[in-house]
Amino acid sequence: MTPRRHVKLFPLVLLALLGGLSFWLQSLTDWLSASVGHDKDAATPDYVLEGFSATVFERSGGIKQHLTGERAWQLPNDPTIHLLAPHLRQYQRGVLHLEIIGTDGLYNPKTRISVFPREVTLLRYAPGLPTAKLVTSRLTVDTEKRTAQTPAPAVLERGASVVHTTGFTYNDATQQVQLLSKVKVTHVPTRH
Amino acid sequence: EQGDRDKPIQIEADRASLDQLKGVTVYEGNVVVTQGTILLRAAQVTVTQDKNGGGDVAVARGNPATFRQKIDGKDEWMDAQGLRIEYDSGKNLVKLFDNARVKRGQDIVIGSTLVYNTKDETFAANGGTGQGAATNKNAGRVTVILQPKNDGKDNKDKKQ
Repeated sequence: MTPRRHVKLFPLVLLALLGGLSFWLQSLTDWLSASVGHDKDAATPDYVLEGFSATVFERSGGIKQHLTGERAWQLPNDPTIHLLAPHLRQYQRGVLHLEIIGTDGLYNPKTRISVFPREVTLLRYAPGLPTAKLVTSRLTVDTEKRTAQTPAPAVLERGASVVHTTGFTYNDATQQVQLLSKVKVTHVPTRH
Repeated sequence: EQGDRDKPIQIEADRASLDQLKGVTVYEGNVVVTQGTILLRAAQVTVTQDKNGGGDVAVARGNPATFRQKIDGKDEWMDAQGLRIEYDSGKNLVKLFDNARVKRGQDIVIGSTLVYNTKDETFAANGGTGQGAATNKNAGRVTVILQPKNDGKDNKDKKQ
């Protein structure tokens, strides 16, 4: 009997990519949040880290998250942490399962909102599946609300399936995605 | 055509939304779905994922929604339309509702509900009492217009 071919009319690549974007920045940047509020000259950073590398470990000792970047700094009287070329790797049981590579990034530990104001790439790895990839020129991730959104064109791929959209919103809590305009989905049925 | 099922599916729309928990995706605005020779046009297409992992079912709405597919091995097309079209890719069925109409080659079938099997290329018609039945004088009736098959004999008679 020939295998039934399951025709999926909407590849879940976006969910695969953003699902559980576990809003990593909090634990990594807590130690960066120097005390701010003294009335120093706001133009000069409180601190600058050149070529930084930060790692967070599981209770079991395995690596959980690894954040590297060319530079990190924070300005007085402003909780925002500025990151240049941030590259986050996130692991599950020691296996790399998510990467976020930004041109630059801003993270506000108080509002728990991260903004990638320029090109950012997300890569998600899953055993037995092709890598899922998202590229867009701007991305805002709200750690508190567990949402991610962009008004800009975005391309999402997994294997031969590709989703083009201009603007999307993703809500991790409700598991809902809105592709805002110019939607083009190309999906290659997979043999089961 | 039989090979359509293996071809990539392409869907274009003004916007789309996916509710993963319900397994429902809605494409809206100038929706065009293509797969091989299949061409579906509609104002809105709702795709429901089969929780058992089978094929998705797409419900297209338009004024009308249209569905076109080339007949296997022939230079002929099946053109269908209806205010609502259900396309079950797992069962190879295209169901047309409300002012349903199928044109295959030169033959035409009109009814309230038509069901077309894309695998064996057969269809069943039902007059029914679909939307528009009250105003449509042919409501409740199926109309079939079959063109005589030209077996090439006519031309020869004309020549003699």
